[in-house]
Amino acid sequence: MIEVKNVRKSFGKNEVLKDVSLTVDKGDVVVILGPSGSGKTTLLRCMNFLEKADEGKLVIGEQEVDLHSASGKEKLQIRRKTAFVFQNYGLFQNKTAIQNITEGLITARKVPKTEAVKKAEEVLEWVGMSDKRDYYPAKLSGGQQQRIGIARAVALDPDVILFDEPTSALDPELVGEILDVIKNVAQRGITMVVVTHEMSFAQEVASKVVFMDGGVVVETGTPNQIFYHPKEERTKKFLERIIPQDQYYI
Amino acid sequence: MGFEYDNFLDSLHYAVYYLPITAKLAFAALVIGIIIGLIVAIIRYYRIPVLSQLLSVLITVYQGIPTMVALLLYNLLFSFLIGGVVEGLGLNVEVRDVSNIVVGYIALSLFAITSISETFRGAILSIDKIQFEAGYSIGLTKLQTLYRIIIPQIIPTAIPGLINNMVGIIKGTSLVSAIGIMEVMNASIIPCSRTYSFVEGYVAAALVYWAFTLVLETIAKGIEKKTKGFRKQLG
Repeated sequence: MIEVKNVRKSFGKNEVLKDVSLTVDKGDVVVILGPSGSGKTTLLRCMNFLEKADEGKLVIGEQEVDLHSASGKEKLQIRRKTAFVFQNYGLFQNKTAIQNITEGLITARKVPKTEAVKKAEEVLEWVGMSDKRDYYPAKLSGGQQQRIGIARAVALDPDVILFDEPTSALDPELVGEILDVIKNVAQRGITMVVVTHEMSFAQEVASKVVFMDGGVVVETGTPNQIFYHPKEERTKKFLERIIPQDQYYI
Repeated sequence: MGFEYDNFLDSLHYAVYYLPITAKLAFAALVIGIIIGLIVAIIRYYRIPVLSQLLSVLITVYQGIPTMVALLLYNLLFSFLIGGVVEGLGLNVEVRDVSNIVVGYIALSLFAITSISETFRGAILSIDKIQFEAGYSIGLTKLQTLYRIIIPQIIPTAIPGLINNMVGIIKGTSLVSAIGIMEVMNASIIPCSRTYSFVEGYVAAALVYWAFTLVLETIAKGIEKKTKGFRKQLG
């Protein structure tokens, strides 16, 4: 189980997260929705120490760390239990597709090289990128890069994968196929936290939807509850704007 | 002003004979400049408190001092101090026999560090922040991220600037002739003091510097091509 407790974060005078808490059970697919500037991405980045929270705690399994004052060692321990999928893919430009995947296994987790390569080939096959095994990221399209980004995260076999708007930088026609890959990850039973603007994906895949606005969690529930029976006025307004009316009143 | 071919060959011979000294000065400065310059650039990139500000001020100040002036200053300092050092160590040597080439090494290395650190800093700044974040996110330490991800990416970016730095250092070695170190510049005019015609000596020196620079530039460009294989566009 993963728990985020009372996270606060300001950028200068701008308070982005105001006391946010979140619980993710094993095998959960938590989708975080909300308008731009609601703090979803910042929350996700705080969970991986890519952003330093002003306050807050993170519990992963037995381990509890302070999101503000975690030591370098604690950060490393948490990062080795988690994986992150970036909006802009974040593939290592100087490494080939397969090296991108083996890097975290060999260098960070000390997995023997042959074993790491075997694992990497397996996930490459699974995301349909075996033929691009030795390509550098610069030679791959956005969709192909994101497949490798997801494969890299899955290969690490983490307790949770954090997806930060994984389809936002893609061509519209590629969004569907990447969402299919992510659905596949979900079907593997891997715990995930996904920040996205893809409503249909949230409805279909999420086990829990979190609606955030203005740096607070406004409402949490199953996709059914959030999309069809929202309790909060703010959630209703947000959904009205995003989901066509007729669909909303089904 | 005539040009005596024989005198020119004589000068060329002397210049080539002393090329190893120039090469040693240049290589030492280049290697020290690359190693310390990279460390300085990284310290400044991470804005490590105190150290970063200190280096920033030092580099700004140092870049405003001509290498020649620095060289002459260090040489004065050297001649003041060397007597004490020799005495202190109880060495049985005459002070005037101690070579001041070490002054040349120091002045050129400091020049190399300041210019090369700026080249590296520019190259690090050109790297997308996500490359660091991706490294951290898969569980690499800061150091692992630096030498496995970041440094391999800054090398091809930095090489054109480094070639420029290197050429500057090679040319800079000719300045040490001012403090009496025998290298290409000084050696090439040895025969000239006999004939009182310096043009042959200067042309010989120019030729040797040019050829030396050309060879090194070609090697560096070869390295550049090799290190940027991961990029889309070659050439």
